[in-house]
Amino acid sequence: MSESTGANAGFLTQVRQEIAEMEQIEAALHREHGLGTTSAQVRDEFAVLLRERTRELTELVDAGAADWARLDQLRAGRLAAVKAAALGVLEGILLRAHPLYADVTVAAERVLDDLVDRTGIRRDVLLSVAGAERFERTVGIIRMRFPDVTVWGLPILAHELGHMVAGTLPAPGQSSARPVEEYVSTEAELEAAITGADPTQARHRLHELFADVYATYALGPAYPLAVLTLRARPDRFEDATATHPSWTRRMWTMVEAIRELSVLVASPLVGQAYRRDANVLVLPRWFAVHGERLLDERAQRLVRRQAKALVALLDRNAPPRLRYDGAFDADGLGQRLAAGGDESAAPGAVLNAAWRWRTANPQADPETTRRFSAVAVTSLRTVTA
Amino acid sequence: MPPPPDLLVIRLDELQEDIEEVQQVVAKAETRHERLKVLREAGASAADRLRTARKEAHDAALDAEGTQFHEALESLSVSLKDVAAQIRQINETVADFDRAMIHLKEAEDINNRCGQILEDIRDIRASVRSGELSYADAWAAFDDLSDTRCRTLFSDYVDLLGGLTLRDTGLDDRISELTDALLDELGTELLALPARPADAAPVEGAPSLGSLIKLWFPEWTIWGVPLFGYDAGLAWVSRGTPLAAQLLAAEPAGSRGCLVADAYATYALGPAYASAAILLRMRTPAAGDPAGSPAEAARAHVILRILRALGESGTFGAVVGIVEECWHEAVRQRGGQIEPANRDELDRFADRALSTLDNVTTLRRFDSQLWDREARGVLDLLRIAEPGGPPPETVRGLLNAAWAARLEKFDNRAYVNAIGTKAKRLWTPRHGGGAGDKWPGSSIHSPRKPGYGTTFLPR
Repeated sequence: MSESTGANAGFLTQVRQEIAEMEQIEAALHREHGLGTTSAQVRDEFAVLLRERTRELTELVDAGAADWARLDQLRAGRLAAVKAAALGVLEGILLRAHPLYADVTVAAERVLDDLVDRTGIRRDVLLSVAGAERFERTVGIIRMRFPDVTVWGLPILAHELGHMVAGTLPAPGQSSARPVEEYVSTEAELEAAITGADPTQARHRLHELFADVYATYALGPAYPLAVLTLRARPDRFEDATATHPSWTRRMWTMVEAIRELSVLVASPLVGQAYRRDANVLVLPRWFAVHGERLLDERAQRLVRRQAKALVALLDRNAPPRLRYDGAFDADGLGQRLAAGGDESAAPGAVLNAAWRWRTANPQADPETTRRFSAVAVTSLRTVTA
Repeated sequence: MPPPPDLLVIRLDELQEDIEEVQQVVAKAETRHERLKVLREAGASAADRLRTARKEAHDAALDAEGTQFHEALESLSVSLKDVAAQIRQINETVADFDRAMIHLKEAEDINNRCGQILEDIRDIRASVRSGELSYADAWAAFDDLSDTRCRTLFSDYVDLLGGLTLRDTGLDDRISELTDALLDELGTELLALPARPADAAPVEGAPSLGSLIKLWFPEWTIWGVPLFGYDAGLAWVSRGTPLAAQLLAAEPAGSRGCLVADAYATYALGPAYASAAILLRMRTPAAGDPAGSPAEAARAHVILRILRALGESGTFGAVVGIVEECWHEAVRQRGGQIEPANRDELDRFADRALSTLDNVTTLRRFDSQLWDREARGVLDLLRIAEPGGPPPETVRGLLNAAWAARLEKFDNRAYVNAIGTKAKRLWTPRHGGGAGDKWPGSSIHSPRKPGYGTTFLPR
């Protein structure tokens, strides 16, 4: 390595500072024992990522020239994401230790751990906070919404996890295959050809729809009810963005996905339970906020076809226990939680019970709703991991 | 030449003899227990004596000298053991019979009815002799006595004795006992008795057998048992408690207690009652139907509304959903109206019924939570092909599980039959009291209500 003075020295100092920061992050993460349920696999992944960035920085130093453009490029495209991810993880850890957020963070981890386990992807996720729920691909961080400490937003984490599942769920017996990604690409091209939509946008939107269907498939009505009540914007129900389909399309896709579950199961009883969830619980709620308007026939056909295909993807490639239990008496659990009972139930059951209760009791005062949430969060955090 | 025999006197004597025969037969029916008691005591005594004999044989074998003698005693001991096992089996069978038998608390009522008729016979005879009654009027009084009251009495008691025999011998497939257990869970003191089909039974005059309710042949299957929730509801109404009176007063006009009985049965039995009542019995309203069917539509509406209030989710909600879809589809097929004209009034009544029944301390609402506790495990057992499993906690849990299982493959008759058989096998009677301790209560029923009520009601 040739060290020189002047302009080069300044460059090298800055590169070395970046390397030092990477090492500092690794040391911080290594020292931290409060990573919650984060598995060694995720820690290792982070370590590999940090080493890769360090290697890229070292190459800059070895090159000898003051390549500021390359450093800027590395900073913006490669280092910032790692630093943000590390910061997110550390924030999550700190929050987990905070008395106000500890309960909901542990509850969220239980929900995610349960979903990961049921999906069979054998990969834990990192949990952190942000202004809104989102998934960050760098090391697979799911951010929950700050400063929400209630049970109500937890189903939305399943949607964020769905983004990770899309990229990691293999096909049976083909560990390198990614059937969701394959479907999304093919379907996006088809949709673009038929509707004239931009293929990239179509792909982004289909990813969102998959995440919606995943969350609905795994959690049941809790997800559509949560996302509709807490996130959907009535003034923008019909608006799609470059990345997200319209709320109307999303809601109908979720309704159709639950209806599709009723077709998949062998037992007419369980099928009936799914149909009721779709037609008696979710759809009336959607109609209540959106008005009782149906999609036009063409849009309805598209939604139904895609919902059916997305449900089939999960049915074929994920373990059967990923599908939420339609035969479970969520109302009964909801009543027991409302009575303050010390209940031990699966995370998905608790979330469904919570949202069914809230939907059935729209007039409940904030104190009652808060109390219910506290009991539900306690129930979630005491679930055996 | 002696005067010709007086035909009226002959007929009156004959009638008197018949009535006295009824009294004797009823008295004899009650001696079933005595005869069984003798048998039970004999069995117990034989078992005691055998135990003593076995002990003596065993002791003698220990002290015996000589191989042959020792072997003979050993062999005797083994034979005695076999005999003891056989006697134990006989005693268990006797105990089973005894459990199935019911005491007729109605014997007094029967004697009163017979006594009343005998008194009327004597009155006719005396009035004719004294000239107070002309022969023409006496014959008219005899005809009235013979053709109506006595005929009904005889029919009732043929039913009663036939029913008792069917119960005692278990030819009703123990459905009566299952029904008794259900009625007990529902807090009534009614007992079930197998009887002739409804159409063949006397139509005129409601037969009175106090607290016995008829289990019409050939409906001695597990599927119809939930219908007795309705009779339990009628019995509750007839007790005249303030809560029952309150609810009766809230009933839409013209319902005559049947909506209260439906509400009671639905509340206490959950989806099993709706399944049996709506799927097996109710006549769907058709386009331009006369008065009868709208009442059925009202009943179905009340039952379904109460059920929805008891639980919407899980298997509970699914069973209700299937019953509802099935009913609505049938109504559509017949061109009838799904929504009853007085829907709002019925909704108010159903809501009122729910809050009223919540205050009946002897009754527990069979909601989705209780369904999960009492029926879910049984449903899992019924779904698997292997026989056996732990007995269900309650009859209502068993009935709900059986109906849920049936609805899973309702178009497969062989499957439905297998589920019915397995459900019956899962149930084992539990009797707290000693043998033959079951006594029907002495509840007095209100006048007959429209519906399935097959209760023997007083005239």
